[in-house]
Amino acid sequence: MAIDSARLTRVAQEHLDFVWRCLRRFGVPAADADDAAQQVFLVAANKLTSVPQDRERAFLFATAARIAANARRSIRRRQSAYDNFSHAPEEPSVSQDELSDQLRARTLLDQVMADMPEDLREVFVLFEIEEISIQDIAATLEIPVGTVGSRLRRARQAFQQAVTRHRARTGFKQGVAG
Amino acid sequence: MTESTRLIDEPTSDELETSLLRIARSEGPSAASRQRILAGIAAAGAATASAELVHAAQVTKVAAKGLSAGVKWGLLGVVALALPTAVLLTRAGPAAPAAERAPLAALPAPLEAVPEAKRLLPVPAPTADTTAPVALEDLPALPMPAAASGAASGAKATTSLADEVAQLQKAKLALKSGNGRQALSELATYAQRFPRPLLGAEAGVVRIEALQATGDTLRAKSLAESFLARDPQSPYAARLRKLTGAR
Repeated sequence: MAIDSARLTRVAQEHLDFVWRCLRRFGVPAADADDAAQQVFLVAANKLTSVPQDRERAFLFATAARIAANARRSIRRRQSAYDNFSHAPEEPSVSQDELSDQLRARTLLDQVMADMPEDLREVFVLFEIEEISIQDIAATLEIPVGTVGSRLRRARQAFQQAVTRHRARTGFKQGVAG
Repeated sequence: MTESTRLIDEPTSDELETSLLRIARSEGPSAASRQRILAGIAAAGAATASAELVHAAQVTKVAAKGLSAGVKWGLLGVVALALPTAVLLTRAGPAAPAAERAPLAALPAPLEAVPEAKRLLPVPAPTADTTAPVALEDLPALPMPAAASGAASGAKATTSLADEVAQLQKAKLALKSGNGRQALSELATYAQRFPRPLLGAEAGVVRIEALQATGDTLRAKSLAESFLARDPQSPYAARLRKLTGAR
């Protein structure tokens, strides 16, 4: 199986940050994101020759989504197995003053994104975080432009509602440092 | 709201919402992580470009000795991903179910099988002999990569999550009965039996609890701080902070 190492290197340099962020927003913990990102490109190494250049990002996005799904399952299974045989871990209940605003915000971001249905989250991540056009998102996900628009509207509603719920539940203050 | 305007740019957007989006946009691997990942990928590509992957396994064993740990595990990752599914899953268990949505039809399948819980990066760096007796202080808090020569061995493949849980449970029971030293001993056994643990984080937590129970609070706090630095959002973070006073 031939691997175009120059192309692989270029693709990794161009898209590493994109892949890493997608993995994080799809629920891969920060501690595992580096490994998962490397996995994405190692998968790409074996497939890249059959991916058109203008579809590289789409391929990496799909691969990242699947690896993130596997990672989430693995984490759930690991947690579940341990809990079944031992005591359950305490719910995260760190008091507000124990964490910096940044860390609290990242935790909240993870929770908000985790609450969002996957099809909406894909569109939300690509449009709101990666700043990809609706037309390109439609091409990436191979869905009609209208579907992207409707998912985006629902995703925004879900995002705003989740933030509101979390704020109401935790008394999370506005004005988190960006 | 218009679809061409990002939420972050909407004048009506909530301040907290825009703050979260700014954070999401600014996230990325650290400079060191970026360098390590790219080095591993580049080395993997170079190592396999001129040879068939089945031969790369042999190349890796030799070349890895002279490479950094990150590069070595990158090479191993490529080799592993190219091996038959049956070999890949000896450690990972059953294949993951298909993704929820249809794959991108025009592209090759992004992933047939991914070895779950497989770490491709050196966390922590492997030593030359991972089968050597492990001191209590060296118990892993995260899954460790196997030695190259042992990655596909039958011995590793026969271990299961249930075995790990059972061994870890021994440590927990010792701890619950107030015998912290026995718990540490069980954890030493755990580390020897499972050099690539699936429950490395959980073992790390139990170990910290055991150290605390034996009165070695400084060591417990130090390990807790390392644990929290590595995974500040762990579900065990609150417990460790409360137990040890770590930040």
